[in-house]
Amino acid sequence: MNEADDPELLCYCVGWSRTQFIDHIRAAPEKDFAGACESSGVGMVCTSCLLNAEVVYSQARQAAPAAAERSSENKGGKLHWPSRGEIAGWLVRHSPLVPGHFESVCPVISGPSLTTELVVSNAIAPPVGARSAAFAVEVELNDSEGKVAARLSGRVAPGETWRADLGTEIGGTSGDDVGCGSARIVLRALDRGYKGTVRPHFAMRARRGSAVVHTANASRNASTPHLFSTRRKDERHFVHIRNCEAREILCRVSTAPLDGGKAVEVRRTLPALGSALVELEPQGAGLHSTQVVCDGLQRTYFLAADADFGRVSVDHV
Amino acid sequence: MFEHRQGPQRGCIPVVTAPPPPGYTLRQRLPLDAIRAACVDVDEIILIDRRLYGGGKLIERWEQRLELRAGEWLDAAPAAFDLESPVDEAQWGEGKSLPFLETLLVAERGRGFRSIFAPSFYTVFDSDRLKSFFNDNALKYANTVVIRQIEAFKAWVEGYPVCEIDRARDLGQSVILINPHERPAVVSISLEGLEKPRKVKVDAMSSCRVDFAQMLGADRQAWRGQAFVWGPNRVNMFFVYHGLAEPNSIVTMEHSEVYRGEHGYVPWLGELLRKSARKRPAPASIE
Repeated sequence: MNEADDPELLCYCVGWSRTQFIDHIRAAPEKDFAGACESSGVGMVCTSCLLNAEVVYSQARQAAPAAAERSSENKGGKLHWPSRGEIAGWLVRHSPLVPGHFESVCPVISGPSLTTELVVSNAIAPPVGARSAAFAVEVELNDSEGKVAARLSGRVAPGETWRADLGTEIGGTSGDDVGCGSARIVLRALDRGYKGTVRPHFAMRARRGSAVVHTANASRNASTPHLFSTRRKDERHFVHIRNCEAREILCRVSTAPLDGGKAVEVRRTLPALGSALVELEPQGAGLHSTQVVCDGLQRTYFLAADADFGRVSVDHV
Repeated sequence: MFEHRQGPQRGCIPVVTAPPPPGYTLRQRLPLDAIRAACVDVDEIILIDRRLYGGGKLIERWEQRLELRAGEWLDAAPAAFDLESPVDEAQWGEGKSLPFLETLLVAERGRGFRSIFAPSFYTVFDSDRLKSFFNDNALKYANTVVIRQIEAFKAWVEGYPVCEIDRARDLGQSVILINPHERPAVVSISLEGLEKPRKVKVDAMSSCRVDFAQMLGADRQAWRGQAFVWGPNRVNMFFVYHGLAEPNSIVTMEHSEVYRGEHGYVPWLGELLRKSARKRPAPASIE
């Protein structure tokens, strides 16, 4: 492919193309690779493109230097008046620091050989060291009716992991019943360290496999339309909906084949802070789309399971 | 603090997708409503440039175009893309050289996109025999959380907090490392409680699968804990939960967790503004 025709930029953080970087390198023959990156910003932000930038640098240096007078830099010394947003951003950044309060929710399911474990890992990362804050953890576990089934709390310092088995408090562990509920998790920083790895995760453990996903906040009425496949027989698909309001909400789950066909609708009324595990009704084999719309704030997770719940995968939608 | 460039963008940051394991079909359905909402103009032509890389080279490239006219898509078919697994069980089991998919959205006509980030979407992997799973892909560049990390620590490290191997229950786990760039990358992998990290070279424009069971001693029946991947150059990665005896029998595949460079303490004024300006979505009608 001719590089000039390639629509991909070299560095998306600073918005530079390969051609711009080559011009920059040729305009400053005294600069080594690090210097070219520093002066342009290429490869200095998320650093993902450094390997590509190095290739471009080598090629530009090997090629005959162009008499490039044009510099791609746009740092001409013009007086820049800050916008209102920039002023507000500066004020925010320079206001006193207070302990962060990070709230999220997760689904809880339980059944025969099926459980949900909450994990908050405050790990020490090898190249960084112990730079994270200690955090207080508070969990409120609600059953499907929204009633408080348990309250748990703990503290997780750098190098520690906090775990709680949420499934045992929800029930549904006898017979073929699968019980469902949900949890609200609040993390509060106890010092001025970083967040590190403390975003809570929940593990759905089944007989033949586990799935682990991060918790998520509730900020929407409607889920993003989500795709699932019914190609394999004996696979079951569900949405878990958590009512995040302190009042009853009505939810509509619409599922339709992607290649056309009638949507199947299921309606559920969820009590305050209640939740439901709704099995989706596909029409034949193939890709389907499903969407959840509620008249209040909700959080939806999608589950794909073996017919006997021997393996369950889960993700937020 | 770094902020992404504002204003219309000609192209979105490429999205990297893991290869479909043997027996699986990768099914990508781009979110047309979200892409339409992301377009600045009501008349645009969007190039969907899908590239399959592996073994250090471009294996195959598919270019298709979506045309938006007066706010409506003329033909939605290019949003759909299926890819049968190009690897066999032996290649997957060995894991040394696997392919991966890149997807670019570029505006060929019109002002382009409101954001440099393409609307997010899941990719579904399905099979006649094996459990289906889905995955939300990865940004090739400019992941905001990685940017914050580099700002805070001048180092790159990602991982996953709850990994698990259990030989008695046939529970296996791997990480798929994808190097979409033009030079090889060397990363270190550490598993919590194991003394020595393992160094892995990921060749340019290729991916590989590192099976955690092989990092444990053969006598170690079970392990559970945090995994970290780090190095001088960032690669993309996905953590895969699978069978040990049949590693292409997948339970789920997850994106990595970045060791976050945001502070646990937050600016008081920011919290105040966030709480006072918290937007509640308009009530949805269920009728």
